[in-house]
Amino acid sequence: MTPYDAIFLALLASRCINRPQQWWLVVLAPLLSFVIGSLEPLGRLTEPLTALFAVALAPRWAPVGLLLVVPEYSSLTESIVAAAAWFLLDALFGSLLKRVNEDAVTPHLRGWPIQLLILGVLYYSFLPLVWI
Amino acid sequence: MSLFTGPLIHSGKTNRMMMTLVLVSLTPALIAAVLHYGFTAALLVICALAGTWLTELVLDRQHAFDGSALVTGLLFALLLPVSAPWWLAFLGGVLATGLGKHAFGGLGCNLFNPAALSRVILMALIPGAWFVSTAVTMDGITTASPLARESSMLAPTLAELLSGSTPGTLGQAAPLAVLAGGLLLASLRTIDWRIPLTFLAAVAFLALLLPASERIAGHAPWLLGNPLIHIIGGGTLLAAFFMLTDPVTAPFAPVGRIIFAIIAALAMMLIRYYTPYPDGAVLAILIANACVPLIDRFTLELGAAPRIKTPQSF
Repeated sequence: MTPYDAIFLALLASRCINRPQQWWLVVLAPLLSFVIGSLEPLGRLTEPLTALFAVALAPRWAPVGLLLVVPEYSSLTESIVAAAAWFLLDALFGSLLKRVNEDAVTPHLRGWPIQLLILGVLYYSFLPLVWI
Repeated sequence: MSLFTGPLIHSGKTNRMMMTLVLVSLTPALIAAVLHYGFTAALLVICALAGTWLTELVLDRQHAFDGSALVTGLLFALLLPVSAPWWLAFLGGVLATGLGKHAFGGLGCNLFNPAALSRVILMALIPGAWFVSTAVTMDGITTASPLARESSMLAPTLAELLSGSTPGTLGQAAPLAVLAGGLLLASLRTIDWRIPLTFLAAVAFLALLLPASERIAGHAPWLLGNPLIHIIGGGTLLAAFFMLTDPVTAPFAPVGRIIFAIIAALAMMLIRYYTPYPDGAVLAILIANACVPLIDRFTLELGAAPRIKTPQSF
């Protein structure tokens, strides 16, 4: 799974769980994943430790944190960019959902379908920027 | 006691009036495309218009005759390469109205430009259908355009770009016709002139400012540092005057509209310079549309005076 895919899955997951007070700590997950992954002496403990710290960042948002530590970040820059991208896209996605007039949306598209449509549009719109 | 919610001030322009003006402004570009590409272009336009209008008729009979569906259909048709099959034009029209507009609640409720949204959905779902003869090298590449020429080819001349003799979409057949239509809309105050002016200025500035990247193969050297090619080539003019200016998907405040145009220009130029996508105009429109609620939030909180939105969408 690429960091880009992980970001969008994390965005989706973040809509399933109520936002705890310390939700923003999840932004540290990609950085944590890279740092722990680059510590060679940890060996087989790398993955469980990464998962443990990802959960510890914001326990109620563990699924979001875990999704963000799944990809292998090739550099520190990549992990920081992924964190920043997730944070920015979370704000964008949230603001778009607030703008949706739920009462106007056709009943069978309300809720998850319209959220998935918006997320899909965001995914394909920002996809070319991965090249940068 | 009666309670009302805003906007309470009416601009005096009805939906039908504004849509008619947009249709009139798009007519020169439409005629140029049909004269340039012939029957195939006419067929694509008819199919796209049929797709949007029939969908509008089924989903919202009340607005089927106000011209908004025709504007969406025409804009979508102008985004099509002449090599696109007729069914893609029809399907795009259906998606533009069905998903781009009515999925969000209909006229005035959409978050993204319907024509651009439909184009991107079809690019993602059936990328191979956009071309008949031109090679597609990766998912999502849009169309052959002057910006997609092989690096070994010579730069298109200004005359080539203006006459539409370079391959491209229907909307690129006559950039001067698009410009004339856009200027007409701006002079009649149907669109906010700040958006196209800022967008085009930012495109020119970024074309000169952005450094070349060696990583992306296929970009011709003449593509870099050449503002005129980026303004006239690709979908820049159509985006500047007809798509970014859609009042429903643009920010409220004038300051916000300037920020919005800069974001669109930046996104388009980053895509053109540093990715294998030949023309990022449509994707840049959607990226800028996605930023609108946040832009509105910040500009309105900063005290920038909001402009009255007219409930229409093209």
